[in-house]
Amino acid sequence: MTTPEIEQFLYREALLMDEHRYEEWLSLWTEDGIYWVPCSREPTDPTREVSIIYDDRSKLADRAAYLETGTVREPDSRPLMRRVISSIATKPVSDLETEVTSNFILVEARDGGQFIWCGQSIHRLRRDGGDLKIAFKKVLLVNRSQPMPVLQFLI
Amino acid sequence: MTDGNVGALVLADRIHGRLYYDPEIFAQEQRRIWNRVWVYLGHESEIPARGDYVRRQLGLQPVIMVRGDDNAIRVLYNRCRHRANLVCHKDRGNAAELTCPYHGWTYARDGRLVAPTFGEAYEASLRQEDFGLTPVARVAAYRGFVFASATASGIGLDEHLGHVKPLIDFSIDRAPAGELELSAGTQCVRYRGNWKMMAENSVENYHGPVVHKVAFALSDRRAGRVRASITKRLRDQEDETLSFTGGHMAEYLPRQGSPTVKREPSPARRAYLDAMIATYGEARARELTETLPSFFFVFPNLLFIQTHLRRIEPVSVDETNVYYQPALLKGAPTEINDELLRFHETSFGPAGFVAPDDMQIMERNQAALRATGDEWLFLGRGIHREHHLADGTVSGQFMDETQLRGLWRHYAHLMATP
Repeated sequence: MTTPEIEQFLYREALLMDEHRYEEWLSLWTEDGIYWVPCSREPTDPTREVSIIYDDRSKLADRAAYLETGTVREPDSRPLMRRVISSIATKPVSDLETEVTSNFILVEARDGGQFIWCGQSIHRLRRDGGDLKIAFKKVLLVNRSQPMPVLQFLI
Repeated sequence: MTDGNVGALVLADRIHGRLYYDPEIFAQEQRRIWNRVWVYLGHESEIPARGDYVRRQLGLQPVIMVRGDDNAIRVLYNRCRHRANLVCHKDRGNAAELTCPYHGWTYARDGRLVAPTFGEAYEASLRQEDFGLTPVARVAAYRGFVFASATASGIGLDEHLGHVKPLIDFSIDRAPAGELELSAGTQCVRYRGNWKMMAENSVENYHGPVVHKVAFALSDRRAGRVRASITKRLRDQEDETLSFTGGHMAEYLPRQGSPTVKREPSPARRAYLDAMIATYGEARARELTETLPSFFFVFPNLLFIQTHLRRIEPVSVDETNVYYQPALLKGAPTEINDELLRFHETSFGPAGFVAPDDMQIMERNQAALRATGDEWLFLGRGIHREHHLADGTVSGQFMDETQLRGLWRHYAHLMATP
């Protein structure tokens, strides 16, 4: 995995999330993927503590289905959002997998207001045939342990 | 705002929009509700060790719930007796002593002043016992749930809980050890709406099939569950919504015909059932494990929603914090509690499939209240067919608004009482 390839992958994922393209985003994941957004200041074990999100692949599919059709928000009133990704750092963990850390700032506009989200993402990317896939993703929101607005989009 | 005006805003079958947006009414609520009645603050399992503390709010007032060296739980105002700094500024922690970060006044875990910093400059007549952290007037617990009241007189906690106690017992007794544990952390959400909306929305079934249709379908599919049809439940005409004296509310879920598809229990489930039978005996264990617990509200700020608790914290007249805490079943196999966490995350917190929709609906509710052409909200559903019981309980049918009318009756009574 080269750094430019990893960067392009993260940018692609960000685009799909910003544009609410849930099914395409889902296709970026491995079958054993884990998506974790903790809510404690010092997260330790997601199986033993409550999180904002702790999804396996089947729950990710439910999440995509829910965001697509299940919210009180009609598709044409979904938040408009763009995020900026920076400080990308990579660390190979095996022949097939690389751990990638990055920071993001995301601006979400909805309901006459603007909401700013910020955090660090930790991806474990896996070479799967010709493609990169997300085998694990942890998002550490800076406001994770404080009261926050609803998070009805992909982070 | 005079007393008479608040009374005029709550009628038998409707309430006035000002109750949700008027800052004067919000200020009056602090005096007549939050600083008077028993308010839920936290659970003993959140501070298991001596010196453990959590910061909480009694209405808008910052307090500390702390376990002392004598193992007793105290609730102290989080305000240094010197010049009013927050003595504890972290959400939670463990402290040998509570030291104010401003001038270093140090208090013992029971709130006693140990020493003012450089104390020789004070007059010899300064009595340390006059400068301990101020305790909240009354503190009491029921089966691990700690409540406080800022007013020295008034009904006791037992009387306050009244008829909602059996529902609390039912929720707690689902743990083989007869205790809940709030040790799995907290999800925090803030919405731009009045605090009372959260109480109403959380125990009101009428919106469920409209707001949560897709979420319920996904959740049923995951659990292998077939939900009883709404038309059938409406036709059955069973009483399922309850208003208790004291402003408590419940949605009593059907006790018969558990909607779960019968499957061979997993080894963990089997172990859980065995542990339940060992504690409670066969009959009670069956009742506790085969029936879903009710959704209910303990006035003014505690919600039991099946497997989790919600604490409501007012921020301002149109902003509210909600804390979601999964209630682990002490004595149950680890796998059962792990499943409980996964079930919880699917629906609740800032990114669940249920709670965020409610939050957005409440925010739109708050926005719509600015339309003042006709300020009344209609709460008349099922008023013609509810039953008034001798003990003050009022029961209504599935999706009726009996419980909400009870909440507002109690609210109006408190707000009219100087």
